[in-house]
Amino acid sequence: MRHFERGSRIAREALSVTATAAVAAWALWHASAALAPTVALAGIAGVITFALSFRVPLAPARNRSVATGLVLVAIAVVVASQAEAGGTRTGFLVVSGAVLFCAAEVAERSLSYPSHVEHRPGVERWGQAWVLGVAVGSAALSYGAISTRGLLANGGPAALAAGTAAALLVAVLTTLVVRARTRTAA
Amino acid sequence: MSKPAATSKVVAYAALTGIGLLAAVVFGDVAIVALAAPFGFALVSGLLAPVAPLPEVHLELDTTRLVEGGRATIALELSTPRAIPRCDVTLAVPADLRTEGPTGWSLRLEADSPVLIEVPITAEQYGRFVIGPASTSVPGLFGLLGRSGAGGGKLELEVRPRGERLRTLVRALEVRATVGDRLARQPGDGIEFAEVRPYSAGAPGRLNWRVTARLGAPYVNQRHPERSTDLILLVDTFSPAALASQVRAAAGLAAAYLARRDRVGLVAFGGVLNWVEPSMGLAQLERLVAALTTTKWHHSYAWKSVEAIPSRTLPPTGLVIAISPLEDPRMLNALATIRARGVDLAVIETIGRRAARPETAAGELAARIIELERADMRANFGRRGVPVVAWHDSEPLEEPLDALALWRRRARGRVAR
Repeated sequence: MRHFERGSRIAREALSVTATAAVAAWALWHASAALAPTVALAGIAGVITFALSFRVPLAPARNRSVATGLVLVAIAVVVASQAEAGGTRTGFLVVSGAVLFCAAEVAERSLSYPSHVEHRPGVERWGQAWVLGVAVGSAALSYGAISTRGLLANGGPAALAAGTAAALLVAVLTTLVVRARTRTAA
Repeated sequence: MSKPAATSKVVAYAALTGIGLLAAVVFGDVAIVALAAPFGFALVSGLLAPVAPLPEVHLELDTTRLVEGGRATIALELSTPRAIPRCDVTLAVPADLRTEGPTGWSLRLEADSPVLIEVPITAEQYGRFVIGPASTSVPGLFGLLGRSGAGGGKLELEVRPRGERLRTLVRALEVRATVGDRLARQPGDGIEFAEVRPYSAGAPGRLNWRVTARLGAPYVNQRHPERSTDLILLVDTFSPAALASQVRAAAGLAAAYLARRDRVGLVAFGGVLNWVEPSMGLAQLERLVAALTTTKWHHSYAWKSVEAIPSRTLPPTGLVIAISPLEDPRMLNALATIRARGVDLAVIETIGRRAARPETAAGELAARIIELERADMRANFGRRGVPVVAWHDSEPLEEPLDALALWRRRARGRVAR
């Protein structure tokens, strides 16, 4: 039996904020002089919004804050990587996505265990593996898909196909979310 | 079994995924999908993964009755026919019951391996408390879906006020006809010698041969009979400040008087009127302590007078001991009315924590005026034959009782009706 320690929670918070800030800093480092102000502004706003989520007590507002922060950092990353070459840019975005996802999950795990809760061993054993697995797997898959698409089509019809696939994926996800929300109401 | 429900994280991840995919479509840049891909994968896998069922919860308390300061143990047992990777359990425990550990747990449950969690509690305040139910929640993969519910039912715990053991008791002026431990002033059949009197036909008492031989006329010994008295405890519940101490004092007084075979009644006079008619014995002690356990402060602006108290609860020959901070005008009016009816009355004025010393000269003056008004009020009661003794609730109750007994011995004439 062990208690969920305050120190551990602070370490998780620091880790997730540091990871988000590292992505934003990396974006700023690669940004051109013309885009640097925009990237810096979006990155700083994103990291601050993300960090502020640790002070939000209610889960819905907290998740909104995390999502807003990640979107702002993602905008900084996308804008900063405009000038990069195709393969480098894809790798940059893939790694950024994986890091941001891990940061969001670490933050969520830190916030979902209040300090007065006794945290018994064995609970998170598979949870962390899943987080890393999804981050690495999705990063590898998206990198592979984008690279294959670049190699095979190099624009035009492939972009259209990718857009159609993306739209389909959005439709599927929306259906799942609506279904889940319907369950909530029930 | 409750159905899995979506958490707010679903909305956040769906929004992130949707924004990424739409941006990719709008800007014609498929690389943007890479940023949103992990969130999309997590969303899909989290929504598709099954969510473990809620565990069976069983709550048990090793006792249903405690005295203030007593300890009990809540046993919380969790069992499940299927393994649950993570189960969050929170037990609702009232604030006045101090727990010596957490009341929330996050744990893994194996199939058919019940987990027993024991929570020691200490009752810090009297009252009736409800413990439970235990809220359980089982999150799914990535916490996107989850089941939640409450189980184990509610446990009731009665914490009784701890009364002080008292030796000094204030005796009533009048006694009842029934046998008790108090010496009556009137002569009768008793053990305690009172005086020698000339014999008169029909008068009780045995012939005192020595005095009869010396004086040449028959003289008899008079004795004091042992009789019981009536005590009414009038507890002021208008003010919450010292109510807990007042209730503890009343519990101590009730136990002490009942042990001496007196009849004891109770009137909790405040926002809500509660009373127990005078009676004696162990059953009466149970009734009184049960009534005191539920005594609470209820805020009320309604004017209350003594007329609201049933007449049988205030017997004219009994002693009324009021325990009050003497702050509420309704209580002051009730005390004056009770005394005006000729009831034997004594007041224990409860004084809680002292107010901070005023910082300004005007504040100091105001505090002195208030103190003068209170001194005048006490003097007024004294002139009516009602002793008022101050009691700091951190001190033993014996001290004000000693002072009351002394006051009544010195002012026997004034106390008479």
